[in-house]
Amino acid sequence: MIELKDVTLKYSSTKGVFNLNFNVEKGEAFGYVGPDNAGKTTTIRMLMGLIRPGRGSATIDGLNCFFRASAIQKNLGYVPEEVVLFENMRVKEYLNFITQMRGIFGQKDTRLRDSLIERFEVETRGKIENMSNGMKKRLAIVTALMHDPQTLVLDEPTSGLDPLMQSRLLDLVLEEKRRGKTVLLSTHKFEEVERTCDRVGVLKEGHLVENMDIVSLRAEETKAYLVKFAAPPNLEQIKKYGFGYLQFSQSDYEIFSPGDRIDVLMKVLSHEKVLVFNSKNQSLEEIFQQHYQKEIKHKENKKEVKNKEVKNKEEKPKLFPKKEEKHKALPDQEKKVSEVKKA
Amino acid sequence: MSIPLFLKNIKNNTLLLLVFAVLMSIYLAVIIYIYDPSGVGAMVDMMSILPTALVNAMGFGTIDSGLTGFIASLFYGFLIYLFPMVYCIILANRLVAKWVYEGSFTSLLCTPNSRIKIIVTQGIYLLASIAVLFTVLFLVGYGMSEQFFPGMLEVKVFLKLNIGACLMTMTIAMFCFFFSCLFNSTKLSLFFGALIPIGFFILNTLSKLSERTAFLGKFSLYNAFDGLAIVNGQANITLIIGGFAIFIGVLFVAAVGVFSMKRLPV
Repeated sequence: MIELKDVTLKYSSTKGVFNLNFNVEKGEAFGYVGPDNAGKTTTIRMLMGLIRPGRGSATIDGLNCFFRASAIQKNLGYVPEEVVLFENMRVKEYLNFITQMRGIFGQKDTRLRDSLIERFEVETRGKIENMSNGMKKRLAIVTALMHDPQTLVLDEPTSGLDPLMQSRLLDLVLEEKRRGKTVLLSTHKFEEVERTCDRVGVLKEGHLVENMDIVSLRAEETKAYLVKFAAPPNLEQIKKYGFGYLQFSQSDYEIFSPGDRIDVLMKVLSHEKVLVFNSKNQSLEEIFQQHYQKEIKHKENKKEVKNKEVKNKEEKPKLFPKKEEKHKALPDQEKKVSEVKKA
Repeated sequence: MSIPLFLKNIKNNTLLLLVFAVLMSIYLAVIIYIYDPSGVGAMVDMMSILPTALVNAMGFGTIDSGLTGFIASLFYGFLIYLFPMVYCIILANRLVAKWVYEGSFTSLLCTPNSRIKIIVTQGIYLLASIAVLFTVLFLVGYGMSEQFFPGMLEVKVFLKLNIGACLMTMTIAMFCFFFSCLFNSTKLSLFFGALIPIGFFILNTLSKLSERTAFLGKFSLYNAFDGLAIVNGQANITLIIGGFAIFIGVLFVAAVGVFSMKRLPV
């Protein structure tokens, strides 16, 4: 079990991590997401005992991460974001060295190690310095898992891997989770969290702005359905139950429903003659975007109340700057809806 | 101490040790070879060509007529500062700061070994390799002397000379090691690791130039070791050994302390 209490480490007033509080229970996979420079790696380095927190305490299985790092490491596997190994060593030599550093000498059981090597297709001949970055990452994964640790701390483990290996790694994470392991997976890819994690924490500028399970996050999602009707539908009825819609043509609509009201939508639509009913799946990323928009709007409203002159469209904290455009689509859609209504 | 790590250090750094051991051995062997038991006349003649101040600075001011004294003044007076100093600077940096800077130190700390254990292993390797270096020198010196001038070397004094020089080098090494543990970048580690011994060396050299600069020697660690004084029996070898040992101990503890509490770079 991983536990962080009020963990703070300031590099400067905006850089660092601030008052982090979260737990990862045994048998749980925790997705730790956030943009670059949010402080994910800093947090993980603290868990590894490489950095001492300025304030607060981080523990793994009840042991202090900084002062009892060596005891923790007995049962922990860590894949760093940036893999740096001993370049002048051969692969087999390195694996043996790490095994020995873990206090295992002489005849040892290498079945798990060999199966991991096979699974991730690690080239065991040759020197580490001649390996590609992806291969180094795979080697780091083997090193982190070959002693069958109880806790897994993975810092962007899929970066630098090809899609096949990414998929294999995520499968492995799922398997390990089912075996009761505690997993902390840091990433900026939402689909990885979606696929493997039970809970997700969002880090932004050093603050944990969200910590919730995937199911309730899903409930907050607005689902979109592409519907084709045989006859013009009863739009009044749809509106009455609070569903938004977008009309493309006489018979084609996109209907929006909150994640927890899909059953109501089904009932409403059961009175219509529906030809096609396709769900337009939203990724977690889009859900986050919506989620954020709410929060940001909320904050803005507060600010505006306090100071009406502040026009802070540009001061909006940007979580995922590149993806902002997608996000703006929603208010536009609303506009369209209202236009349709007027028409 | 971690045995696999110690073995890895041996594998990584033996070439460096070998280079220095061979260079210094050749130098020592040549010095013994050119010794002329009938008198050091030729050598004195050669020195008289050079300016006195320079000769003094290099520690060749007084040339003892005995073989042990000859070795002490020509080898343990000047070169013994330079060669091992370079070795210490390079090795101390390689053992800690270089790995920390590159990031591979993380893979050591992600094994169930405490920082203290790992850093103590590195420190022990540093000290052990210096001990090996001086053992080689002692054996080469002894062997060469017995080969060319049997019975002329005062073995006990020569041994004292080596032990003194060895401990002095270890002290210098510990200074470098401390900075290697303190800094996360090789640049700073090398800068301070080199600054201190070179500073000592310069102060020591300047102090020998003239009477008026003699006080500078008080600030140099190298002044604590005087090869000729050991040969003449003027120096208290126990005091020298004890003093260096305390220095080594304090610096080692400081290095381990600093390293075990510091934040490693992200």
